[in-house]
Amino acid sequence: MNTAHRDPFDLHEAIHEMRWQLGTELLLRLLLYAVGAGLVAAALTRSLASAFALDVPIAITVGALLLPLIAALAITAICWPSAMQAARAVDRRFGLHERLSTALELMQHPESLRRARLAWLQVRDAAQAAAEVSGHWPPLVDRVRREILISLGSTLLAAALLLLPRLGLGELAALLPWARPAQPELAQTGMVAPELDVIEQPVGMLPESQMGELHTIDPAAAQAAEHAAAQRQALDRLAQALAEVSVGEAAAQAIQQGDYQTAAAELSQLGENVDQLSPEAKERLADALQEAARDPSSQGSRLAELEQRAAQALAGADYEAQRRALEELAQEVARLGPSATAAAGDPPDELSEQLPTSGGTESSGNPGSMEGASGAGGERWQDGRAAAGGTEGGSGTGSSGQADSTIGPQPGGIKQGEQAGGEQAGGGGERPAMNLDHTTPRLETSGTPVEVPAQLTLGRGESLPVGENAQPALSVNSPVAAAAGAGGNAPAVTPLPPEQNFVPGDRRRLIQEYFNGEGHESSP
Amino acid sequence: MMQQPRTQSEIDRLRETVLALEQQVAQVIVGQHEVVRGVTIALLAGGHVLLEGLPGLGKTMLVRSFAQALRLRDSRIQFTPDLMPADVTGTNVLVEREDGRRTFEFQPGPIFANLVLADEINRATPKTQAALLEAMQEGRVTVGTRSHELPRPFFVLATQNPIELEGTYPLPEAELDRFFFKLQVGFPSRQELVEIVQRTTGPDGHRPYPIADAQTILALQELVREVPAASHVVDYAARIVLATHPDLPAAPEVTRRFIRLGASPRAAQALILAGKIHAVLAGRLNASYEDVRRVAIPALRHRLILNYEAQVNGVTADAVIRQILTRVPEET
Repeated sequence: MNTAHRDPFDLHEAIHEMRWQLGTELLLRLLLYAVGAGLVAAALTRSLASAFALDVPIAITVGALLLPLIAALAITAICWPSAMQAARAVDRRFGLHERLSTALELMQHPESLRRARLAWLQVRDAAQAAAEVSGHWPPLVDRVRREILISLGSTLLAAALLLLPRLGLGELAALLPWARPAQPELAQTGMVAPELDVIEQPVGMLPESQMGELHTIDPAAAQAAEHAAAQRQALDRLAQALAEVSVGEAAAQAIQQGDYQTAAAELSQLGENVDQLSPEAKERLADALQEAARDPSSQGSRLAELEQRAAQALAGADYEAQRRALEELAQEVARLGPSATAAAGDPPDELSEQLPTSGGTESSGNPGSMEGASGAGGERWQDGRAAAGGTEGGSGTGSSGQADSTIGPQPGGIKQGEQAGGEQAGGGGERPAMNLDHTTPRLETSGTPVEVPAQLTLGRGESLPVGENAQPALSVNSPVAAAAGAGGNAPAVTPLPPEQNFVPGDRRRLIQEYFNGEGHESSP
Repeated sequence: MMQQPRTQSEIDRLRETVLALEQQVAQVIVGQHEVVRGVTIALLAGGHVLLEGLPGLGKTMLVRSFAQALRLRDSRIQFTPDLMPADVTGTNVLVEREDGRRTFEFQPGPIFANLVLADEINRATPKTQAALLEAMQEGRVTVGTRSHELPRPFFVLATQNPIELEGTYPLPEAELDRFFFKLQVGFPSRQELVEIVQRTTGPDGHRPYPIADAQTILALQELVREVPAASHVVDYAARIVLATHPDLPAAPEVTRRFIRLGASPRAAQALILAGKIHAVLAGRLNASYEDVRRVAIPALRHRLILNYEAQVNGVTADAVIRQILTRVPEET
């Protein structure tokens, strides 16, 4: 075989080699793009899920990574360069002035070779050119270079977003007011995120550090706060359970919005109409309530017991039992509601301000507010001294609202209650020193005129009902406890004359005698 | 019967001939390398050239130099308004024979030459200009009822003055299209002007040495047509020509804005043929995109009819072509 006849063979071989080079390059390039695109998609998915608290299955993230790779392989297989494409690409990228593609075209059409007598020379020229560039990787064109750079940058950025959690979009979103997720209850009302800046964290949701500090300063208050938080969580879980069925959505929404009276009414109404529910709806509701009862936050509580009872009733066929169970559940919701609302209403900022200064020093009454918060959260606070933090300084409404039943009413508490009355148990402001020691007389009024307040802590013109058991053994249902908290959902109170106010029956006579000038000194 | 393949020596001879020709012309014509190369390409392509430039720039000298270097029979026709077609093509004259009989005999005009210099062609009337049409396109002239073949190679080099418009007759589009290239003869640079003065004011002017004869030119013309051009290169040339038509959807914005009438298919032929020659002279054996681009301006500039907006704005055909070349991609 002479040289002239070898030229087409050599050229074919060179072009075949270039096809593989270009195909491999295409594959690598597309894989790089795919990795970049997959990482970007995965990073975006993870970040958005983190920012908006979405539950994105891992399969979606893996799919976002794998899908571009599969697409890259498919595109490479489809777009694998033909001999002519390879020849034209090599011509362009090596600056061969269409030598290879012209020669290849001539070889593909033998009649051209016969007709154009320069064709053989051209093929030889192309074969020589191909031999010169053989073994060199075709230089990339500018556009591809730019694409590769962009792809590399995207890949690195996405990898950083994925691998470095502190750089995640979730944290960035949390820093931006407009990117914060809306609170559930306000999201339903259409409010947007910026208005949510003022929403404060419930006491029970204090950060670990503050909660730990609270435990150190005041274990009882910390326990109360935790309990309040648990109640709130249990109610939220109940709301989720009710939302499982369409008939329970109204009650669920009311709970989420903090309107527990409405929620109770809705639940009660649901009980009345339970016979109209389909068996499937009853079953779903029963399952949801059963699940809510098993929630760790409500384990052992009355709410869980009632949820369990309602679930069992709904599983049965007795209408009366179902109605009664749901009615009891409604009553429990109404009972717990104010506590949960109060717990959620106490600003943690104030609390955090109090924490460093509340131990062992004269305070300005801040413990009172803390105490009120915990007391209003439904906690049976047993010791007024604990609330006061062992210091002089007002315990505010908490001291009067949370006094032990064995201690009974105390003047100090009364006085402070009077002062705080206009503030709806705010507990703030300067307070006179209060002695809650059991050993001290509870009514040290000898030689001192006693000022009879016109009201307790519910506001002007309102007081506790008169009776032996009106003030002692205050429970969370008592008006005082309610007033010490958020001030909402208190039972009806009866306006009374001032002289009948807050004096227990067994001591009323003593006071009356004192004011009548009989001058008895007494001690409890 | 299969033709014998060309050998590398033929290509080498072509290149050597062209280089020697340009060298000989360059001994007379100072500078104007692009113009000389353009004339050479048109000569090898068998096309005609329209030279446009100011008086005194050596247009006539250029044509004479080529004629002398090629050992071709040349003629010069000075076009004037009173020039008649018969003055160009020739005419039948009454001749008395020895036996006393009188017959009409064709007396060839100056167009019967290998290399014709049509000086200031736009000064002749359209009727006389039209007489050139058949000669330029068909290579023959018809006088009376008889056609007369022109000698081969037949090569018209026409000149025109772009600034003197009074008393001129602009060439019609159909005639312009018959010119392979339109070359613009620019003013020489300072060094070139000095060189021109020194050469033309000395005791003895240089006379080009004959490099090739008519047969050689014809052989070279045949050879360059065998240079292969890939289909995608031909397609590129076609797309460029189509891009000059403002009424086509693929026309770029510059075309729609400034061109009234686009180039004819002859333009595409000129692009490819000139591209092939450009490739050979550049040392290659196939036409490329770059070759097409390099010859696009002289091949297209006289084939584009610009509109009023372009004339008002002073937009030249060259600028429009450059824009079009940037808008037409190599790969589709």
